[in-house]
Amino acid sequence: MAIIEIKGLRKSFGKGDKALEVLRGIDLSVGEGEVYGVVGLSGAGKSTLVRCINRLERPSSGQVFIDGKDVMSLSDRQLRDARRSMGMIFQSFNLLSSRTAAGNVAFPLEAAGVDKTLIPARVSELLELVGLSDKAASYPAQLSGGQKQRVGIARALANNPRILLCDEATSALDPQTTASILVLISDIQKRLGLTVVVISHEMQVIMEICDRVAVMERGEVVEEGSVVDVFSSPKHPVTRGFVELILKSGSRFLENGYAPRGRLLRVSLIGEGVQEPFAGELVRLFGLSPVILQAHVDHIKDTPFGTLVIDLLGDGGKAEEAIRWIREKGTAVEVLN
Amino acid sequence: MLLTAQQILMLKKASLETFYMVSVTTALTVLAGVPLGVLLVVMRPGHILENSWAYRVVGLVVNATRSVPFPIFIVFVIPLTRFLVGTSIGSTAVIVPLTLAALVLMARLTETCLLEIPHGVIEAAQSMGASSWRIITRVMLPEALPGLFMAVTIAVITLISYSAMAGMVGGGGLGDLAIRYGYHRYQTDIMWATVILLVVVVQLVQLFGDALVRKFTRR
Repeated sequence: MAIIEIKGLRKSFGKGDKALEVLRGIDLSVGEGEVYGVVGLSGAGKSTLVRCINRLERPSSGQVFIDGKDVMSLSDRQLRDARRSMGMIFQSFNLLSSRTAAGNVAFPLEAAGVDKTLIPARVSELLELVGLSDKAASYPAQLSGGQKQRVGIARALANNPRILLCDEATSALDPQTTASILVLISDIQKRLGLTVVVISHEMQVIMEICDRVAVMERGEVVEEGSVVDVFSSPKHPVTRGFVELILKSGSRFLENGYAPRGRLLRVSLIGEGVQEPFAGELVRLFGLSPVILQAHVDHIKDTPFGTLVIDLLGDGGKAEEAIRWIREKGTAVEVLN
Repeated sequence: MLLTAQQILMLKKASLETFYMVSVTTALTVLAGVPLGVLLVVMRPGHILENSWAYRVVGLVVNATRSVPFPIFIVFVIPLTRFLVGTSIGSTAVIVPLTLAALVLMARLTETCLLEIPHGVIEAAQSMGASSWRIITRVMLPEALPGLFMAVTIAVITLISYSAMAGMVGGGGLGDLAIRYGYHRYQTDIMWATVILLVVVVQLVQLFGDALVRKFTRR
């Protein structure tokens, strides 16, 4: 059953003529233990969407169900309890500058009314989980961005939430730190069986840790599905844009004035397919000469994912045959010329 | 230009009066002004205890109080002073207008400090299920502490200056001494002594305030 269920969610800011509709009817559901990504350009409404989940933002209409309970129907006290079952981390970390790392992690425990004598042990356990045991007494100003986000994660996990909401959690970090934070989130997610919602404007982040993804544009979900599917055959222009950005391939070759001598193909190889002698087969079975313009192997979470841009030289008829053969294998292929 | 024994005695008495007025007023100002400043923040649209109607009323009252020049204000609140203290003259009576004037200043200064806290920090506390009371006492006030010390320093110095007008209603104090003896009786030495004393006191208050600010700044 879905742990988060969003139905017909709308949100406008302002009133009357000046009203700005940021969410225009969002429907989505996130399964228990799933890592769900929401990707979109800035202003697409992703942050507003995630903030509606723990009601930091009040939806204008529509419903958000957490474990089957409508978040809008909760009383103030019930809402506070519900929020404790959802940890949240932020782009700007939002730590208390007046408290040490340990003090920051203790905050949600105090708010939940945890017995004071039990707090120190729990705090050191959490700091150890995020690898910051030695920084317990440091103030946020003395920590690096990555360390601050680790404190943020420890704090978000303090009350054993079932859901972790990540609002552009790595957007303020450099690529290396981003990678280490994503590994940490992924690792903790597996260990604790968390449900994670990841908001990001970077497809790379989504690719790294998400199972499913929703692509947002102007307050609407324009494409949704498993990350592997969305990535290997993007349908909406916005999704294509994101994918192109990572693969930096395909039509660029034509745009940059490359004159193909045969059929220009972009082939996406997923999972086991990456290990097949693909180019060799084209030579052996069809007598064609593939010119490899670009080859790229990456991972979508744990699935290997390869992209090959080739100029297929040789007999035209054989080339058509080869393209059919590739399709029959179930491999995504796009003819670019 | 040495002071006579009698003049020194007068200075001592006036200093004590100033100290009495300023210290009691400061305590009352902090006790009432900080909560009022908190209200001016949390009742704002989009804040944790949003209440635009009450916010406007409180803002209006604060602004109205701040617009009346202090000497006029002393006279204006005489009925209230009589009601609270039983008399409208003397050091204790002056505490009423002093407190009212300083507390609205303190409220605005507190408001400014609290607005400096990034809103995300407050939202993070909300996302952790903290109540509004906890957000005010464990997030907003501790985060704004250095700024609040600065605000109290400004309020105390303003109070020292305002207390010079206490003489209008027989409140005494250093300012009163300077006007009555230094100005009306042409005793320039008394004038100099009070001015030097006030400069030194204000300087010390500022130094002490700055030290507190430094001690609690974690940024």
